[in-house]
Formats: sequence, C-alpha cells, structure tokens
Amino acid sequence: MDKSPKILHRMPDVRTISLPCLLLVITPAILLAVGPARLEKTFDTKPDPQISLTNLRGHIVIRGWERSQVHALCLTASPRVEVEGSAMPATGPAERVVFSTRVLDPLVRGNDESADCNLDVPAEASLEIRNRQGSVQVEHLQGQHASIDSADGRIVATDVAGHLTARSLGGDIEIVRSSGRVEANSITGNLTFTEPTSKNLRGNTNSGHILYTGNFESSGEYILSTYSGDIEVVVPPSASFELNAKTVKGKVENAFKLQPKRHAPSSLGYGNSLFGTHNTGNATVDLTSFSGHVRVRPSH
Amino acid sequence: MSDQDNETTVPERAACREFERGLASYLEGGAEPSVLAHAKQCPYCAVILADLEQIRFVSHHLPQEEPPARLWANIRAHLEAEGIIREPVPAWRRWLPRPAFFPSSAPLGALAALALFAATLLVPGRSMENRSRLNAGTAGGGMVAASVAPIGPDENLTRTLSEMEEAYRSRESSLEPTIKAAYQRSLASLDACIHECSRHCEMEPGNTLARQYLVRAYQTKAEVLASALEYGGR
Repeated sequence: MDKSPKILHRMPDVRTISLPCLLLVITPAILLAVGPARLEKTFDTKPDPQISLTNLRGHIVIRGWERSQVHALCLTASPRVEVEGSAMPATGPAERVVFSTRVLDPLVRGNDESADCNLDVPAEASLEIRNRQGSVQVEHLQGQHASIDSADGRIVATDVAGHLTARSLGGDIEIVRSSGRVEANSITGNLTFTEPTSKNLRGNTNSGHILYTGNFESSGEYILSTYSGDIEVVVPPSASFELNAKTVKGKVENAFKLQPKRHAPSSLGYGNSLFGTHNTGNATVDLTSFSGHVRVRPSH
Repeated sequence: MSDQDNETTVPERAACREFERGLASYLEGGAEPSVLAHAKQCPYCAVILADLEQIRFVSHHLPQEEPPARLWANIRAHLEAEGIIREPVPAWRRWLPRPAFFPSSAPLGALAALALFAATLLVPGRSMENRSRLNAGTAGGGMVAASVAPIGPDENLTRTLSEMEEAYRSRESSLEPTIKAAYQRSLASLDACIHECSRHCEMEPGNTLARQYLVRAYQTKAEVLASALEYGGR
C-alpha cells in the first residue's frame, strides 16, 4: 500500500510524456511550414530555347552552358511562395521554358516573397527576365536576344553576344564584354560598359553616371546620354572614332587630339560641344549630358 | 543667340523661310536645288539640314523595332474587354502570372499623345526660332518669349499624365516601401529634368538638346507611371 503511491508517483505523468512527443511531431512541421522551399528541375531543350522568368524579389543568376538543357535551382524564403517551371511542348525537347514565382498567401510580403534562382541554360538560349526587386546576373549567352527588366535591382550582363536590353528604374546596369546590340536604360542608376565589342550600343540614364571603358568597333555606333550625370569614356590611344559630344550646362573635356569639325558654343544653344575625328573616324560616338560633364580620355 | 539674331539680315531671313518651305520636300526626295544652295550660304540652315539628313540616314538603317510586349498586352486587354476578340488561353500561359493591365486607357492615350507631342516639339524648332528672330528684329527681344508657342505638352497630354499620376498616387501606399522609394526617386528625377528643360526651352527656343531631353523625360515619365500602375501593389 505504501509503495503503490510511490510507484505511482514515480510513474511519468501523462502530460510529461505527451509534451515531448507533441514537440517531436510539431517542431518538424513548424520548421517545414516556415522554412525555405526549393525547386530543382532539369528540362531537355532545343539548342536555342526561349527562357522566361518572372520573379518578385530575390537574386537571379543565369549562365549559359554547352548542354541542351535547362537546370533550375530556386530557393524561396517562404513555403508560401513557390516557383513554377514549365516546358513547352510538354514532351520532347522544349522550345520554351517558363519560370514564374507565385505568392500563395496574399499576406506574404517583404523578404518572404524572395526567391533566389540559379539557372543553367543552353548558351544559344534567348532570355526574358523580369525581376522586380533584386539583382540579375547573366553570363555567357549567345542567343538572339536577352531582355532583362528590374524595378530596383542591379543588372550585370557578362559575355552576352545577342541583342541585349537591360532596364532598371534605380538599379545600376553593368555590361561586360558584350558583342551584340546593347540597349541599357535606367532612371537613377549608373551605367557601366566594360570592353564591349558591340557595334551598336546605346545607354541612357536620367540622373546616373555613365562609364565606358574599352574600344570602339569599326563602323560602330555608340550613343550615351544622361540628363544630370557625367559621362566618362576611356578608350585606347589607337581608337578611331568620330566624336559628337554635347552638354548644355556641363563641360566637355577631351584628352584626344581631334581633327576638329567645330569646336565652339553651338548656335543651337548647346553650352559646350565638341565635334571631331580621331584617327580615321571609323566609329560614331555620340555623348550628351544636359547638366553633367562629358570626359573622353585615352587609357594607359 | 541674340548676337546671331542681330547679325541676321532681312534678305537672309527670307531665304531661310524659303529654305524651310522646301526642306520637307527635299528630305522626301524632291528636287529642291534652292535648299542645297541656301544651305551652302547659310551656316545656320546648313546645320539644320545636316542634322535632319543624319536623322534620316540613321533612321533608314535602324532595324525594325519590336514594340514592347506591354503595348501588345494592353491592346489585347482592351480588345478583349470590349469583346472584340476572345481567344482561348494556351496551356503554357496558365503558368504565367496574369498581368494587371492598366485600369484605364490613360497610358495608351498618353503614349499616343506623347508621339504627337514629340513630333510637334522637335520638328518646328526651326520655325519657332525664326519667329523669335523675326520678333527680335521687329519688335524687340521682349516680345520673343510672348510670341513663341508654348513649350510644354498640350492640354490633353498634360491631363492624361496628370490622371496617370493621380492613379499612381492613389496606389502608392500599396507598393512595397523599397519599390515605392524607387518610383519616387525616378519620378523626382524626371520631374527635375522636365522642369529644367522646359525652362531652358522657354529661354532658348532653339535649344534642340533641351527639347530632346524634355520629350524623352515626358515619354519616360509616362512609361514609369504605366509600369507602376501595372505592378498594382504586388
């Protein structure tokens, strides 16, 4: 009699057993519910598929590779956000692969909307990327076109050979070793062009700066414009170009010895302008800033 | 500019007007020997001709631009809304997020109006300058500003842009703070450009660079507002 109560007392309480069990069951469920979700998928494609990606927030990296496959690895910050991938046609090598981020819960906001994606795509693929917020990095692509849009993210495109269109409201745009036609537009972001071999390159920003380093291609056309930012062009002393540089309120500073066409305040009202040819003037270079400075100098 | 105005004689102005009359026909391939002859004599008109010929040359070599996908999407949305077209949705489109199309026709109207605005703003720069010069010669510099046509956009465009801006302001609070800040910075930057270029155009109607920046700033502002309305808070 005396022991029974002791034994009973020693026996674990039902509550003490059920609590750890409950925790063991619930904890993984909670972790699963709040942890990141992952999409990893591989699609067989034609050598030159069209790849579209629409994302709300996060970092996007896209690299060209030699395989006729698209390999996607996406991580979302919340399981209430998912990245869907689909190939068309559904059977056989895909001509088009579409990725899109969907927010399953309308209450998900801010960083929880994030999805970071790494895509390996055929080098000949064409791209259409819309990433509202966050950076986009594109490398080693030779497809017909690559179009990249972001509201506020930085865009970096390296070794892109096709027609490249990059647009960002406030993000900087950096184009490295492009060889196809380039159009880069931002409102407040800076534009940087490094060693392009493009024959047709246009860069426009409203209040950002523009830096061009590299050379000009023969018969190429380069148009850079900013409203209040500065433009700096650094090219080798051997560069051959016809320069048309204008600014209303800033200064044009040129360190090349140009054959002058005209060098005076223009009758059209430009504050400062410079028209001239260096070497044989193979490329056409048009630089305009309304209130910023325009500088052209040789690289060392 | 005033020095140049003072140096311009009446016969030269008449020749410049004659040059202007023949310019459009010449640029379209018409036989207008007087245009070339005058351009050789008048350095000012020579610059105008050279610029226009460069524009013509470059535009001939531009590739056919594909209009932005958004434009087609908007046209399609309006046609579908009016029941003019109804197409089955292809399977692959089910994967794409349904875009929030413009709630009104304002963006399309603004873009169309902007095209007209650009045409009227850029093309008659020469004639506006001539008018200024004539006034400077006859009635004094004080009359120039009053006689020059308004530099800003026409009323329709102003109204449309203002409607777009109102629509944007009413939705601004639903935007993500960082996105909202990006739009605010962009619009502030464009407004500064519009303000300064308008002022320059009023002071110097012949300043084609200021005109180009003004037109571009209006176009970009309409595009930025359209894209903000497209996001619709998400």
